[in-house]
Amino acid sequence: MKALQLEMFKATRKHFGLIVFLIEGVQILWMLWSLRNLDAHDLSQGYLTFFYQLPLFNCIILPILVSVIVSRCCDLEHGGNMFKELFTMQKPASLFNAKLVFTSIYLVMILIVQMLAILVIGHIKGFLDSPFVSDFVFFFLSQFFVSLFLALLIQILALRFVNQFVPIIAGLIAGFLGLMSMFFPPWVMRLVPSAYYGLLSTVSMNWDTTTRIVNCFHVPFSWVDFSTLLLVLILLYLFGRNRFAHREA
Amino acid sequence: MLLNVCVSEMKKLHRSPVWIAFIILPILSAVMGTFNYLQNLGILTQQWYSLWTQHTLFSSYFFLPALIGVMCAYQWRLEHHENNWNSLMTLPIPTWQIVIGKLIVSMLLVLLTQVFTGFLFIISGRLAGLTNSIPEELPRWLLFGVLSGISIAAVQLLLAMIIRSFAIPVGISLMGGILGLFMAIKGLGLFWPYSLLVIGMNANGRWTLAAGEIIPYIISCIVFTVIPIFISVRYLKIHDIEA
Repeated sequence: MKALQLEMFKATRKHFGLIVFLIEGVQILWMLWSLRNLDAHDLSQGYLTFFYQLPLFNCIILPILVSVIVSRCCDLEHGGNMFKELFTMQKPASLFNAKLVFTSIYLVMILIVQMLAILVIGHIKGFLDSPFVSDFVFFFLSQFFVSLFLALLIQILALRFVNQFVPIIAGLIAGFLGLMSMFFPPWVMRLVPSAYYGLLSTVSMNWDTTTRIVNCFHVPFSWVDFSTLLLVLILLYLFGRNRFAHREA
Repeated sequence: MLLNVCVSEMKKLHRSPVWIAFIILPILSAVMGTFNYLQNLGILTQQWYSLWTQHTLFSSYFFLPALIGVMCAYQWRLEHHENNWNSLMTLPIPTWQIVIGKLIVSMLLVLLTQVFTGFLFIISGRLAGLTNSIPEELPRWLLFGVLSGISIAAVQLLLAMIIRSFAIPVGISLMGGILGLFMAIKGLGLFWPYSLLVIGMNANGRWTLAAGEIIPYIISCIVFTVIPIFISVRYLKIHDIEA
């Protein structure tokens, strides 16, 4: 807790909130724009469409946003040989955990804002369908853990390399691969961490090429893919924390 | 003098990983774009034109602006470090040359990326079995990609010079790319530097510039290059350095 408080202090005047607010603001604008000119059929599946589209938007935006937050958070320690000083007072594992929890708090806030945006926009636009609680639960679970996985991966890189070019590029490439892999068969998607944004979605879509009508429908939550993600997340966490604990300060 | 500045800027990037990203992104884009094209031959019937959209659509909307943002942030990061600002400002070099030197390096990287993108596009098309001649517009798309890339680089260099953080200008470039999508669709693309890339490169196959639109497009690229350069030079001249 103390370590987390310290991270919060370090973040003072670093404008983390502003960056998140601006990028999420643009994303919500984008969501609004994608819902212009709705007909009766679109309104009848408005929430479903949202739960289908939002993971795709997240796949583009969240890896880069996460890399910006994590890189900024870890870059603070590279200046002035700060690790040497920190490690005289704080265990490396504690610092590692605190930074990950710090990013997680922002992730939770981002996802809460997104879910509120779904409800508000749905109300304003007059969607005719009703969202299930399970839609929100699975949306939160999937988007949070995929983002956490990426945050962990990027944090390991950001702490390892002084040059923050590496973690930022990793976030950028993760977003790009995730988005592109969504056009590939599921077995390809399973190899790309950021593709799990779409892979774990509980809504799928069928586009009729002749009528050009899009139909969204529920699909079961993929517990197998979710468990795989959690398992790899735990392994990566143990690896990353261990590597960081044994680093030369 | 300017040549020496450019050479020293290139030396700063020597052995830096920044080059790798500019090679990886077009390769990923080409490989995945071609694969997706081959998977959807029933829908993507425009041959070379369809392949071009698959190669450039997502990269030019979101990822190339962000990559240019990373490169510009990296160039100024070197100056933000330690006491490099002091050293830089005491050198007997006019401030405009410092800014232009960095812009020229960015321009070279954008140029190389576009040439590489074009090369990969032709190779991929041939490997995908496209036997007819390549689109005659290709050199123009690539050239406009370079021009718009320079505009984005000029804006990003300004931001990276003012903002000491490495990550924030990259976040701004991502936002710029997304806003660029709206502006282009609303027909206001010429008024937003990040839209110029998708319009110039015809990345979604819809925005082929008509003959009468080329001059306004080029003017827009020039304006979005010159204004940030002017502000950057003024900023360097009047603002106190924060080493």
